[in-house]
Amino acid sequence: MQRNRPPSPQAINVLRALAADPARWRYGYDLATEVHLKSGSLYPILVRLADRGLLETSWEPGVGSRPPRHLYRLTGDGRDLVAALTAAGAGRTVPITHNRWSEA
Amino acid sequence: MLGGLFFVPMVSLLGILIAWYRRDPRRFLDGPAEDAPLRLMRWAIGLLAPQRAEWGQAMLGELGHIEGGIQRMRFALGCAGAGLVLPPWGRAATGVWTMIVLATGAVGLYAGMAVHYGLGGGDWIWVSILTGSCSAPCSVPVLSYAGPASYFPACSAACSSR
Repeated sequence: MQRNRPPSPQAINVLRALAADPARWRYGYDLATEVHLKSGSLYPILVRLADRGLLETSWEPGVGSRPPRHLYRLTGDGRDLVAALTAAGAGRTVPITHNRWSEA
Repeated sequence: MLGGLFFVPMVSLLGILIAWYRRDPRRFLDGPAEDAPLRLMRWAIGLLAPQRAEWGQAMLGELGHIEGGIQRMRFALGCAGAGLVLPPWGRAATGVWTMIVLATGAVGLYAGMAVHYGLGGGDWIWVSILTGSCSAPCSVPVLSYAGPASYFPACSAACSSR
């Protein structure tokens, strides 16, 4: 059963980073750097967002010896959610406390 | 009862030895291009359930674009943590968690009995139990060349429907 919990503060930060330029495809590592999340926290968030249909993914072909790279951007539902969060006052960037236990 | 306490660590140790024996011979052909973060990442994506395979490839692809040993290792460690907790658990992740729980339980049980009943089995008992218990979860990254399902054959067999 799909639980429909409200997004965590970290997820809201990811959504907001993606919503800054909704049409642009983003890399995972760049997103992690921008929102100050470790990969162990970012990827579960991205997976959850994609499972809920808030995130669409694509692949950038590999260049030379470099492997293909996954790209992310918000879907229409994702943009609607960010707009709703912003309207509700939760869309502001949530400060990250750098507490490793709070990132999950 | 004391024999039972030895059973779990000894089975763990036996599983590790078998996995080590069965490790992929291609490891000797990979060469220095296979750095530790990449090996760790390959192990980590093996933990993911089949329906999360694309996300494993996403992590692997991202690692290929990260420069710097420390950054790469931090990224790979994070992904390994994600692989262990990301639902649904794959068969390998279930096996790893089973081993961690069993090893922790065995140590806790022995410690509890040693304290409560005053069992003094000698230092060699402690050494054998702690070695067997701790080496199971700690050796997983070391064995990253082999397929995750072959790390702990006993647990893998228990978790497998085959």
